[in-house]
Amino acid sequence: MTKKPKGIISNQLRKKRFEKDEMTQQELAKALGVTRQTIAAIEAGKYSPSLEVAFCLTDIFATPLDELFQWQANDSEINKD
Amino acid sequence: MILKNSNFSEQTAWISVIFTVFIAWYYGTGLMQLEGTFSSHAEQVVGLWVETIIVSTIFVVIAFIALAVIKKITGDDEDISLVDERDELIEAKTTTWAYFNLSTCIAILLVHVFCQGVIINYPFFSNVPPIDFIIHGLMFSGLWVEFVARATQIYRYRKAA
Repeated sequence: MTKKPKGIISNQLRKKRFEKDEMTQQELAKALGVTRQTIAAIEAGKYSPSLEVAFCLTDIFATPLDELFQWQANDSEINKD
Repeated sequence: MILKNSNFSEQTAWISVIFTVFIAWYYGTGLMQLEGTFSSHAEQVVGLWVETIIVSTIFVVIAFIALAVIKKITGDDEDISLVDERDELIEAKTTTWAYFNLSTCIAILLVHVFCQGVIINYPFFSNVPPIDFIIHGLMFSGLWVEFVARATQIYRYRKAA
């Protein structure tokens, strides 16, 4: 049985928000239909949103998904497999 | 500070945690003052239940009025009916943990009653009749499970998910 490679998901949400007329977390949360705390958790890298929310974010910021979210695999986990 | 950085689900979880501790204390205190057992003094036990239900209702009404006032004062106009995917994920994890605790509590209650009937000189709660143990045990189990569930929920919210 092989372990799935784990890694870190980082994002540019805060940067994109400021680039979009200094949009507040509350405004973004309202546009997405989530709570402000969820936006704060995503920005802090403590919560990974669903694909649905991620694609909604790409629509709001008119930017590709890989510009918003980056995946950095844990090398040690990959080497184990 | 906690109120400002938390959504309505987390705020209600805090109320539930305080509620369970208060009701456990109230019910436990009332239990100590009971004379006799359920079979001999059923009216006292029923009286304690009624009192507990009334006190619970008053507590919940006061707590939610206080929360509404604090939200109004702090200018928090968050939509309290909004439940997003993170709330649902945390609720699912919480429910799993609560179900595990409830199953364990019920198993402990049943094993205790079984042992009390089978083992001679069984050392635990030997002076408490099985029906009383089940009744009060279920009450405390319910409070314990609610406490664990809401404490887990708060932990998950603080941890982010």
